Amino acid sequence: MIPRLPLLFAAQARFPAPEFESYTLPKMSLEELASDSVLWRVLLLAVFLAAGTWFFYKLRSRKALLAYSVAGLAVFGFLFASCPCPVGMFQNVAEGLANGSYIQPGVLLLFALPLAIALFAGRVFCGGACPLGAIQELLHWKSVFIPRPLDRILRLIPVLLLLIFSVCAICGIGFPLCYLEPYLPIFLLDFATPFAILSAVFLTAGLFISRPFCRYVCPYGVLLRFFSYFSLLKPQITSHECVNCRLCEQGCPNGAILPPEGTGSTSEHRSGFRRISMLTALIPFALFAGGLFGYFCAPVLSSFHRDVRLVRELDAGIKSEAVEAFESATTTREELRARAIKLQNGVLLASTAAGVLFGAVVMAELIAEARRRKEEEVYTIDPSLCFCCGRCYAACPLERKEKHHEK
Amino acid sequence: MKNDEIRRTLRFLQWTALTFILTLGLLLAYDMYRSRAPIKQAQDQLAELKQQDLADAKLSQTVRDLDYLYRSAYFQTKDKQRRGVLLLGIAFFVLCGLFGAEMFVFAPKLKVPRGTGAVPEKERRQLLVFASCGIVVLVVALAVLRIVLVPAETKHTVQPADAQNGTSGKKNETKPAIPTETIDLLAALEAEKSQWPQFRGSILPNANALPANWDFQEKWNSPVELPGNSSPVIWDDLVFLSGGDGANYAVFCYDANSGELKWKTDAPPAAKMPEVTEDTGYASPTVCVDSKRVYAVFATGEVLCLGHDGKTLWHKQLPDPVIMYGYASSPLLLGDKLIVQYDLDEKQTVFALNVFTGETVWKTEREGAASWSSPRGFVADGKGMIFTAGNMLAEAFSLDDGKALWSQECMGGEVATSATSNDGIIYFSNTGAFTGAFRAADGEILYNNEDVPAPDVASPVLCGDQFLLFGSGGTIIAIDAKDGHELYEEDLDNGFYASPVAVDGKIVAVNLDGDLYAFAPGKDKIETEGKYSLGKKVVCVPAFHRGNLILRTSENELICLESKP
Repeated sequence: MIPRLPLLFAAQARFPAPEFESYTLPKMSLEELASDSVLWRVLLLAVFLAAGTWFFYKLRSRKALLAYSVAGLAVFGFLFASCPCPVGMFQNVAEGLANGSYIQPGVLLLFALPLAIALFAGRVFCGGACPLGAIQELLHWKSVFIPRPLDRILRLIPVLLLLIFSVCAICGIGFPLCYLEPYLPIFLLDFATPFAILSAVFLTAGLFISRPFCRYVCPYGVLLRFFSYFSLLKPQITSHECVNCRLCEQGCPNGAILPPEGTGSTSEHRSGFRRISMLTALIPFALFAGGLFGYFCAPVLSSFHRDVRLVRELDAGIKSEAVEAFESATTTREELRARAIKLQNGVLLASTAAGVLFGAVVMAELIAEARRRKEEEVYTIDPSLCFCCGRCYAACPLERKEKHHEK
Repeated sequence: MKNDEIRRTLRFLQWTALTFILTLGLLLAYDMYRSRAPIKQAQDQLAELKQQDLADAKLSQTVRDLDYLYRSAYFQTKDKQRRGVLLLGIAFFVLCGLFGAEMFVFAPKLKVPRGTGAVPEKERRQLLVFASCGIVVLVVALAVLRIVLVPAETKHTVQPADAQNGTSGKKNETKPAIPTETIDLLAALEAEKSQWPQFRGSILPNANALPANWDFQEKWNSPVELPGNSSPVIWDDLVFLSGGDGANYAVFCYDANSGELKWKTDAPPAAKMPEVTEDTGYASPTVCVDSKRVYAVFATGEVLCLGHDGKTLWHKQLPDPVIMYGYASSPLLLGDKLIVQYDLDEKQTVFALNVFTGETVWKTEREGAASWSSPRGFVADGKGMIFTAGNMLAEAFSLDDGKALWSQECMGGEVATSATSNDGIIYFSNTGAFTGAFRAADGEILYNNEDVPAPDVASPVLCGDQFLLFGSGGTIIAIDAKDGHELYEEDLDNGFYASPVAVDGKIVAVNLDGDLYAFAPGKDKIETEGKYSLGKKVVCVPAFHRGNLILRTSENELICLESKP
């Protein structure tokens, strides 16, 4: 399991404090910087999102959006050390909402602002204000295209992760997803294994596969995708009449450009009808299978919790540090066991429910993808999958021509 | 500058930055890995030097110099690494900037699209194929999760303690009873006088009658299912004792008149089998009994409370009793508190448990090392107090809150015997530790006779104005209880492991051969008033019941002896 991976030289070797009688440890004091203020960060994020929206919808400039990414990486990535973090803030808020614990208004705003903007203008946050999105946007070299159907299936992974880690946060298991935040070592400048290895893997993959984290891991992206689906502003590849040159389709490495949907033959309509009917009939089975999946995953999830792990170690007679600490504490085994069982039952319930929900999402996605879209003669952008990078603008000959004329 | 030149320059810079990042990253990783070993070596070397006599000024200065040297080297290394990591971060940012710059300066090359473009209908069919494959992958992943991530023996779930052994939760109800009554300490102690409620009988002088004569016959003989060195205790006509063999632990109840086994209640299964020697066994602590409940402690650290009908009222697991030879201290019942002296190898604690619920009323940690002694209760000024002897301290605690009232650092060695008390004085003797008396009120040592060989297993006994020691070699030594001087010494054929008890002015003791004695301490010698040979090894204290004696032998028997008419 991830928390048990050997940390090799992750843990820092430390010298003990000097033992001289006259020596007293100096008091640590951290000077608060203006950038430490959450509200200041919220304000800056709002400015960034506004600028991103302007660049994407008004200027329609790939160059401006690249500058937006560089600035986002510098400010939110390196200066604020990966804040807002789409992984951490999602879990913080999920736990806070589930357990009724206090959530700082600033943190809530950081969480809600990108979602609110997504309702208005799509995933502008992913474009460059998100430090993880920015670094992936900039460190992409040559695109290897993932076939669209496979891409749609793989995009279910973040949904699964969102549900799993929601269960973890709600049940108090902790924030295991934070171990999957691959770019954190770069932003924190702390290259401890195995996180540095994960970083290297994602950076290397990102050179060829556009935004691997955003597309196939990010749980916050699932929420943004959902909100963007209803966004008020819809991006258009060109404001001119599309000539269906397909350059934009080949220019978008994220699979967000949808090909034209023709009228379709009668046989296509019939096969489409059969497909939808079959998938609809499968819904109860999918819900059941999802629930079963969640039920089976529950013990694995609960094993991340310290109490459950401790009881298992005690039962197995393992002499770990946790066991030693427990033995010197006042909690009895009965109390610990009762707590572990209560937690385990909670996780079982939540995980099964999450499994059912996952089954529903999978079927909804499959049906949505399997049905014919509204007839459209030109290439269009799916706002829920578009990361607002502006590559399609740069690839569109009509846009380039217009820019040239403007110059 | 032409576009091609700009592109080439950017590419060159990108590759340079990438090479720099890789090289620096590898060097830093190697340096961090390499710098760990010298730090460990330096710490070990310093620790070794500190073991020596630091009063030596030269050595002390060497330690200081080395410490300074190592510390400087350590922080210099850390600073160097920090600078390296910062450089790495900057290089990353520069690389991102260079990639961005290339994209910024150059619009993407437009290539003539290949093929006929995406066919939505075809993609939809492919989607279903990929979805089917995804389901297969998910099922396989799930199977791997089950097999790899969760150890098979844990069966994925934390089992309730009583479910681990396959017993039903209803059979061994662990829910503690809600206390509905209070126990008056003095009244309880008074009531215990006519019973045999705990290790070595009652706290107050026991009021049981001695057998009419020492010419015994077996009234009944019942086998005990599980072995143990715990002694039998009696309340009215019920005899209670515990047993355990490492796998099973139980409390037994026999009819004192017929020897019939009335019930047996298993203790919850232990999470971990304790390490014990054969001499100690798994059930050495003697159980306690009051008018309604029986309390047993096992070598596993499990405390079990049963009703007189054998139903479990509560049970509690104390921390794992890691102790050389095994846990053997008998609990002490004082009113509404069960006192457990828990002197383990690493930590020494006295627990006071609520007899109604098993909750810890207080616990007091003690200094010292492992001991096997049982606590002794006494009453001073109407208040309950507890005396404990450990490997370092003799201490007294308040029964109410567990606060240490006094302590004397006069103990040592392997303390296994227990104290006795009378009239505000506590008497204690253990080989290598102490043989003497303390004033209960303030702990003042009244005397300590270091010249007499003290017992190592059997606890000393007070009879009249004599304090008697029964050694495991067979020596009996009488000490004047007032001033501690030796009165006389007597050698018998075999030694005593079972603690002697004083009843009705006589001392009843049983040796390792199973010879049951009735002694009357005289002025200059001990009179043997009765001797009966059981012919079986006995290490447990005999219990008294209406003029009869009930003994547990090492052959797993419970025997009731009655005087011949």
